[in-house]
Amino acid sequence: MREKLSALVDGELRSSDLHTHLVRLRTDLELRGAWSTYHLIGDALRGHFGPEVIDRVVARLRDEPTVIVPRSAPFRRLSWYAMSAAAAFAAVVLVVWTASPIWNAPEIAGSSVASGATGTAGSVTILAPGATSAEAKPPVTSAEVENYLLAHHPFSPTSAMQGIAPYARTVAAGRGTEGK
Amino acid sequence: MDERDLDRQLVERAQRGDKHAFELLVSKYQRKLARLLGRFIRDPVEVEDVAQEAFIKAYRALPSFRGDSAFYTWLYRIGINTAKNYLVAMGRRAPTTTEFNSEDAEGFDEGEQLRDINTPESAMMSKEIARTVDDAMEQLPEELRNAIALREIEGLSYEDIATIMNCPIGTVRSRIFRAREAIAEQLRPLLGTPKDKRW
Repeated sequence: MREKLSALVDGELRSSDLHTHLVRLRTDLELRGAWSTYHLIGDALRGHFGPEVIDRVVARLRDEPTVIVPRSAPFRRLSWYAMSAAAAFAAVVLVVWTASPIWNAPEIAGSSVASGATGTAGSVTILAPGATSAEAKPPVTSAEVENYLLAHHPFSPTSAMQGIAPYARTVAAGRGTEGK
Repeated sequence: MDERDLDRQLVERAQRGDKHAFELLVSKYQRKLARLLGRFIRDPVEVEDVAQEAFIKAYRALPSFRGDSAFYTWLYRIGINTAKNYLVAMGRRAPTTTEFNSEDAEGFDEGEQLRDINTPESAMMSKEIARTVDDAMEQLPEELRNAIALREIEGLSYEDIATIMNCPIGTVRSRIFRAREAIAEQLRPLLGTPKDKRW
């Protein structure tokens, strides 16, 4: 034990042993005496002589209020930053998640327009995934599509976010067909 | 872990309410701080008073210690300020900032302090301790004497000492410990404590 104390005095004790020895130093008077003597020997070898005030300081420390510093302010700052970052990230994820149907909607609309452009006027060609135009089913008339879309609109995932946008598209399509 | 890490550990414990941890720091640095104060305060009794006051101020100021500098560097500044305030209060000339350069914190010219900072009783005790330690060093086997001298006087790490002495670090550790114990045995009658039971 005292050999480890000797290493501790030199700052050469393994960190894993440090806690154990510092705890023992609290209660073991003999070890604390050895700590004091080892430092006295070191000071004597270096020619550092001076009065010892330890007894007087210890007596005064007994009358001092015990200092308690709130645990690790840097840690609290770090956790505050971590919480802020997590909150910001969560906000971004929420926005992306809620906005993704909007971003997907133009793709669907775009494919419909493109398909419509390749089909006959006033009709929409619906392609199965991976199917080529040669394998396409017979064209569906725009009136059928309009009816289908209007009938299923309440179930559309985009309706809740887009407000009147779906209706605006429908009206525009209706005018287009009326004009023709 | 080095000495600075050890000091930081002790400070952190003291900051969590462990007064014993702070007492270990006082035990470690009391002579070094008193030597520093003795450069500016001639009366040995006053040196003791100011050193004591500086340690108490340091204890009260523990919440402000962030570990940006070594503990002794921080304690040094507190000691200097305490000495300045004391001298001003006594109507004496306080040292200028150039006289107290923080770069001096880790060491300054040695060997001229004995007469100045010790009361007659403590000066006699210091001389006795010095003579006893010297005698004990002379009686040590060479490998123990070299090991502790390289550590305490040259300030080398165990690893460096192992390289110089061409032996394992564990052997260095054992030699330094045995040297300390041999010297401590010689000091015991002088310190008046059968088993190192001091403070």
